[in-house]
Amino acid sequence: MRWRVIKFRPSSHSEDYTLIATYKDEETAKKVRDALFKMLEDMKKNPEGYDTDWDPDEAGVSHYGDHVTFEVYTAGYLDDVEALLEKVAKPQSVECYQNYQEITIYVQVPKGLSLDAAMLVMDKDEAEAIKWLRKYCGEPEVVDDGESRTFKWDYAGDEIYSDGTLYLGSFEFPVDERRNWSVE
Amino acid sequence: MEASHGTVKCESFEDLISEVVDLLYKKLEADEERLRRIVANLEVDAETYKQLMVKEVVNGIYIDAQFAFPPHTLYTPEQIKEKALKLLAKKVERDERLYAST
Repeated sequence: MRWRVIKFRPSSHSEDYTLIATYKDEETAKKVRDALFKMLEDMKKNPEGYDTDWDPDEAGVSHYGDHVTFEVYTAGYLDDVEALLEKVAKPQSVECYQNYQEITIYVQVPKGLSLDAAMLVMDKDEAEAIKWLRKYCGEPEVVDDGESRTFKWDYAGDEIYSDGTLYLGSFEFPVDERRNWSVE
Repeated sequence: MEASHGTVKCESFEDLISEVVDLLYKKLEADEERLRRIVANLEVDAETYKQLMVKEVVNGIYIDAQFAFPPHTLYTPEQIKEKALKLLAKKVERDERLYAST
């Protein structure tokens, strides 16, 4: 038997990691959340039983509906947590984010302009940013207000916004230099 | 040539990982009663539990196993197998504390 394993070595520097696991229902999510709390307690009593670089008191566990969220500052030592998320119950998905962000991106255009038309009249960088947002966040919500129209994207995932700039793959887009763009 | 774990001496990284996987499964299968107590409080079945445990342990030794062959021979394949078995024991003990006592 041949095994193919993709292993990411823990990084030499730490980041805020967020694991979000989704289960079949809220009851299962609560069960997994309680198991995580139990594991954190066990880590305090038996630190030698775990391969981590973080203090259990600094980890955050929460649940919302069928989601369970685990957050901690680490160089990637999450094997014990990932194993628990998969063993206690079968997750529908487990997603791992570094410096998790939930942001909303707004782009204001003249009222009545479609997004496709807006992309034609905007400059190349704006069009590039919108192309990325459509690809990764889907079609925007359209909000008409007075003489303007606003396209609104909700984003949740790895950090893409810092110090007024959106980092969209290899493309950097300084939002703070654009009067019609904003991020909250 | 026989190695201490009764397996043929591995010639490559892939062989070593395959041997570690076999070794871990054998060890888990020999501990059936212990596993039954752990899995009784989980929603996954025994087979899935074994797969997840083997995956977890292999992840834990995977990087070091790459350094068990030239040009960077920091470890011997035997040391990697020993490390995998120790890691398995540690993780099964952890799971006993977390799940078997519920």
